Amino acid sequence: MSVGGGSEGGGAGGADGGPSEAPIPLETAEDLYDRAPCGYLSTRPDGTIVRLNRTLLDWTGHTADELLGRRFVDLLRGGGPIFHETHFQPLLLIQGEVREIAFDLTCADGTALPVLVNAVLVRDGAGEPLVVRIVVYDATARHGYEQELLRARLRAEASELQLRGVAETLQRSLMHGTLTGGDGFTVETLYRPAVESLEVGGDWHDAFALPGGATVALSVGDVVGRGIRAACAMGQLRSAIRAIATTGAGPADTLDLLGAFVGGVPDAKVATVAYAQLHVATGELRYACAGHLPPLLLAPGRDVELLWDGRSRPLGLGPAAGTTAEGVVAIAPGARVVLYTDGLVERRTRDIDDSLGRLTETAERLRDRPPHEFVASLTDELLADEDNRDDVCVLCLDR
Amino acid sequence: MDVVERSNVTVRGPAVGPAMVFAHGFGCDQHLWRLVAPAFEDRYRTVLYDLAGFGGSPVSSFDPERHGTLQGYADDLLDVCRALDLRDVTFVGHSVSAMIGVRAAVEEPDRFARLVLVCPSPRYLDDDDGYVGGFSAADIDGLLDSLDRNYLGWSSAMAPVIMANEDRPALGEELTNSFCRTDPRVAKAFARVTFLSDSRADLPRVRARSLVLQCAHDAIAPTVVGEYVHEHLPSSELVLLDATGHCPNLSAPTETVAAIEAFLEAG
Repeated sequence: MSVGGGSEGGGAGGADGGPSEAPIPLETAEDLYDRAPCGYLSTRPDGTIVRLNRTLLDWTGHTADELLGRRFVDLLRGGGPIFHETHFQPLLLIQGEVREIAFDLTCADGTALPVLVNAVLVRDGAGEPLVVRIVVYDATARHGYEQELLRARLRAEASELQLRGVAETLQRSLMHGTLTGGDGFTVETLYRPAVESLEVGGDWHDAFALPGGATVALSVGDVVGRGIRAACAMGQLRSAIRAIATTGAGPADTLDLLGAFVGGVPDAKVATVAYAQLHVATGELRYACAGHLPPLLLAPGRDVELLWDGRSRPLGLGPAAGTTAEGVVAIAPGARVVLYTDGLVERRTRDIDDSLGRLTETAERLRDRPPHEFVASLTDELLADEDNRDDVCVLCLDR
Repeated sequence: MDVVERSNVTVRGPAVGPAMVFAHGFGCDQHLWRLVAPAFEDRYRTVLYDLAGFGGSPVSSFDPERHGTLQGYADDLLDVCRALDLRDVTFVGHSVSAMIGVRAAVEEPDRFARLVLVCPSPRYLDDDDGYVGGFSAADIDGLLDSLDRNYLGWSSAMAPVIMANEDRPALGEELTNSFCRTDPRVAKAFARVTFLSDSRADLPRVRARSLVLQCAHDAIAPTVVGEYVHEHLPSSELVLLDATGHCPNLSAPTETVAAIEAFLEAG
């Protein structure tokens, strides 16, 4: 039931005689204003306070004399005055009203009262601003909750930053130790992860000297999958190659043993690897590719060629050990060998022969560039039509 | 993205007239000029644009590095002038954009004939050397906090608006779209750049004739700051408006237009 302050009660009121049917004397316009459950004030267009209600005085502890004649903006604290001048006032003047703006009001005792403010601008008959009416809602509890949300956001941001740091550390440790060169050769590498925010992926490159120092081993590989799990599996495979290689195993044997190892690595169900051993003094390169794209050879005086020997199936798809093939090729002084992962060339809309054709054409065109520039330009040009961001790894050895 | 799209450039008035370029200040967008710019459209080619990431300027046009100082915003202004091949420009800048215009005019003095600086401040923070800007570092933190608190309700808070002005009924929707669009990251970054900037050294290097419009009771740019700007600009005049607050372009457009007209008529 509802009762208006000035009404005479409902038709049924007289019969029942219930107290609720009688007018409530307090519901006068004056009292509705003064003791409304919100603060209420009016200002001139320049912000000077000309009227305000009792609730606002109660909430802030100010007296009417203290506030009348002052400007609304003077009650605001913290960033309030700037926000008022740069947002609240323009919005009010352009839109004619503003809603749900959060401010802190300064109370008489110096404390802050968090409030939400709605305001309307009343114009006169000529369209000129006449008066601004502002209602003020106590938002103490809401403000506390919002502070919680903001703190949670800050924590989330800090946590994301920390995660990025962890990923970078992990990346550095997983790819640690690739040689950049030695007596008679230089190595240039490039790595770009598929997931921009996460600096790790399933691709790797590695170059390391075998015991005795006469031979340098190169590996580039790709664990199927993305993100942190693929990266961890990658780290295990990359390290396993190093361990196996120290036994004196050649490329074919190394990949056979690695194939057996892959079965025991939970997140490395399938992987492809190109692995090569270069005898630095003679230039003899022995290599094997388990399901991996063929290395590129840029020999002086000859066209760019793909090294198609020594092929076997990807690791993790069988077959049994002992069947991996091996290729041998001579790397003359001045020649360059490039190992890379499929992200460099493969596109969903193109078959692999076209992709490898583009690779050899581009490499031919760039072959005279120094190693760093060669790798950077090759990658830039080949990734220009990238349709689906993937990990990309390139390792370039110059003899 | 071309410059016109990037800065949401609006051109009105005669195609071959002398150019007036209007730049809005911190907080809103080019609609701040809607009661002022039309007064010049009959004689001037008026060019309005939005600062990077504000109003109709796409968020992607905001580059944290380029826009890490006011220079980036001055470069944007120069890009607009070059794209439209504007010369002999009368630049009208509100609030922080006054100093963006000053910086651009120092860089390409031949392009700018006149500067109208509405509520300018070359430095908002007080300085140890005795300069009074009106703000402390804590005030800036408070502002960033305000931007955070008013971000939560931003999209719905500015919900549509029935405009009192029935001559331009489309304005309501147009404004809602633009006013709601400021990405809080852009707003906070620009707040930092604005309130930590120091353009005092640029003032004596300005060759263009300049007008400083100063309001009464401006909480952002107090009168002492307007006087400082006037004293350090080689060829300037200072006009004290009766208008109060920081947005005379909205609260006292008639007085603002009259002051600019008088300045333009003088040469």
